[in-house]
Formats: sequence, C-alpha cells, structure tokens
Amino acid sequence: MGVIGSRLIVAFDAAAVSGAVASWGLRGLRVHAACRVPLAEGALVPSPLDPNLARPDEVRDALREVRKSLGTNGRRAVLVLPDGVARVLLVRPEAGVSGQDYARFRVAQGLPFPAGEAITGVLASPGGDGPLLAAAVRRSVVRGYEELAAAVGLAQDRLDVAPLAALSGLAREAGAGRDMALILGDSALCLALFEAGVLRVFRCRRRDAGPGEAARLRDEVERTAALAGPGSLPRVKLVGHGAADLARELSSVGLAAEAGWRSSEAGSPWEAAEMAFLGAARA
Amino acid sequence: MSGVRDFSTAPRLRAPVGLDALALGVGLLAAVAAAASAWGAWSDLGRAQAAVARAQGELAAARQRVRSQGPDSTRLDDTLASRVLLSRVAPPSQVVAELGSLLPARVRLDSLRLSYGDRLELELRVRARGPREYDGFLQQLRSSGRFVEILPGDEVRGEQELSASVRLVRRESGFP
Repeated sequence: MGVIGSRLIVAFDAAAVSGAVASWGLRGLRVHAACRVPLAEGALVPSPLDPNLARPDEVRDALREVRKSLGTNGRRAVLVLPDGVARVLLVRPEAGVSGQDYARFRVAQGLPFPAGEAITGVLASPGGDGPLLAAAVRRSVVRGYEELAAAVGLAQDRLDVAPLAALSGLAREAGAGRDMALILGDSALCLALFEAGVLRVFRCRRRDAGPGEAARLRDEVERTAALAGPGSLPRVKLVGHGAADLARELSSVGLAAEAGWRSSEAGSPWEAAEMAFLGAARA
Repeated sequence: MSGVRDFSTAPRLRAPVGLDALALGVGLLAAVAAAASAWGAWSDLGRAQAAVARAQGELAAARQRVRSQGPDSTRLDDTLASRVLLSRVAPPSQVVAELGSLLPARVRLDSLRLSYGDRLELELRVRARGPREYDGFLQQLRSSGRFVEILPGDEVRGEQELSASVRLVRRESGFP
C-alpha cells in the first residue's frame, strides 16, 4: 500500500463491487491489494438509460466494505462503471479530420437519450492512427455512481467504463498476428479483435455464465474473427470475473486462450486476470 | 492505445503520478534554474551599472581636466595667431631691412635668428671694427624705438675687430 505510482481502482458490476491497488511498471502488473464484495442479484442493474442502483443501500455497504478492506483512507480512486452502461462504437475517421472529435460526434449519434446528456470518451490507437473506440454514457447514470462513492468518503480521481479500461491494458499486449481481447463482465462481455496491433472489430454481447459458456464463447470468437475477414483463429486473452477458468475451458475446446494479464509477483494471492478493471491503472 | 479518459460529470484535477510527477519535478528544476539565472543576471546588472557609474565619473573628471586646461589651449591658440600675424606684419626681409638701416658704417651683421611667437625675438651676431662702433650700434637700436629688451651678450675682442651677440625683441604696436 502506498506504493509510488500505484492507483486505487474501484469497479462496479452487477454481481459485485471490486477494488484494487495496482501499478504497471517495467516488470509488469503488480497488485498490492484487492478485494471483491458480492452483491445480491438485482441490487445493481447495468443500464445505459435508467439509474443503475436499484438498491443503493446494498451497493453502498459493499462499497464501504471495499474501501475498508483496501485501507486506502483519503486516496483518490478511479471509478470503473460496468459493461452495459456505455454505448461503445468503433470509429474509423476519414483522413484529414480530427479523429477524437469525429469519434465523439459519431458516438453521440443514435443514442437512446438526448446527446446533450451524454459524456463521451475515446480510446485512441497508438500513434494516433487507425480506428478509435468511442464511448458515451448518460450523465444521470454516472451521477448515481459518483454520489454513492462520495457517500462512503471516496475521493474520486477519474471515471472510466469497463470495456475501455480493460482495453487500455490489453491493447498493448496485442502482437503482430491476430489477437482477441475478451472482456468479461457480470452481465455482458466484449470482444475486440486486433490485427497487427490495430483494432479491427469490437462487439459487445450479453453474458450467459451458465453451463456451456465456453462453447458459446468459442462461437462468438469465431463470428467476431469472421467479421474481420478470412484468417486464422485469434489468440484469445481473457480478463474479468471467471477469466482463469474460462481460459482453461477454451483451451480445451481448441482455442489458444490465456489469461489477459498476471501479477508480476510470484505467489501473489490475487488472480489479476479476474479483475478486468486493472487496465485502468495502465491508462 | 493512449489518452486518459474521464467520464466524470465534473472532471477532477488528477493527482500527479508517474510521468506527471516527473514532469512536475523537471518543471520545478527548470524554475529553480531560471531563478538562479535571473539572480545572476541581476548581479551582472549591478556590476554593469557600477562600471557605468565609474566610467561616467572618469568622463566627468576628464571633462573637468579639459576645462581646467582650457586657458592653455587658448594661450596656444593666441600664440599661433600672434605667430601668423607677426610673420605678416614683420616678415624677415623687413626685419633685416630695419636692422640694416640701423647698422653703423663699420658694423656688419654676421647672423640673425628670428623667433616668431607671442612676440618676435631676435638673436644677432655682429662684427664691428671696435668697441666704439659696437656701442654705437647698440645706441642706434635703443634710440630707434623699434626694439626693446636689448641684452648684449658675449663679446670677443680681437686686435682688429669685435664680435658680439645681442638678444632683443621687436616692439609691435597693439601687442603686449
């Protein structure tokens, strides 16, 4: 705790409130502390339109427990909102236009709420070229999470959304071939296909974590890869709740799958790949 | 992928971490270096101002000296003007003619040196048959009224003649 360069990240999802103190350094990811406090079903319902905190008291208690468990009194926290809250769009800017501005313009189109209520953000490609991933969230939805964090005494640093936070960490792992980032949320999942380090396809789906999930995920991986054109099946890196088990199962059904990231410390008590939000420490 | 997103309703100022802290440190170092440089420049300015003050003092002293030496230059100018004027009103040919008119029959002029300055000074060497003729020449000079400060110099008396030098000043009207 209190390590220079580390960040406190608190993530919300349908099934739990999680938190970690982590840092990305030359040796890779280090998790200094982490915890996950489960939520009862229906206490938090990720939605882009309506307030997500169906039972705010339960979520507040869970958040308070996370804060207490991490022992980071007074430290500013990065808040990460769950999959399903943001509208995320892959944008390919035309030459000669500002990619960031164009991406914000495009993602604001077709929102199920007035564009004036949207807060937008962009995940840019390395070097500024290539497609951009733009996201928009409704201001009233964000305010609900912010008020909850303030209520338990968390000093807010910045606020990110789960797919973009995870991709901030995974995009740098993409190699020269085909790589797929599989970001697992409690109620949704996102698939991002990279070719030679460039993001080609991005999709989000509802998640069914029941029996046979590995087979369903394999189908989604194949469909997503097909959208990018003919080619080999990608190497899959998974992050999020259940990532370690699913990576093993996907390997057993013929996919090259592995955990998206691991803690650089030997014998770390935390499975880093289970926390997709750790990518926010690399943003 | 790059860029720090913030979907907050009111984005906060982020705490400095990592590269931000490094940039802040570099900035502070640059500020310290700039302050040190400014302090050095201020000291240089003080030294330069002191040097200018010294130079101004020396200039004032030099001007004072020039002013104090003003009369000498004026005097030099006056001497030059007198020399020019005397050479016009009493050219050597005229002086020789005047002296010639005053020479007795048995006195002749051996040499003559003229010094034009504030006044015209003459140094003569004459040769006379005897002391009586030489004295007569001196008497002629005095009585002519054209010469003053007549100072007989050394005399060499031989059996046949007398050689002597005389220093005198030509009197000029309008000159001191």
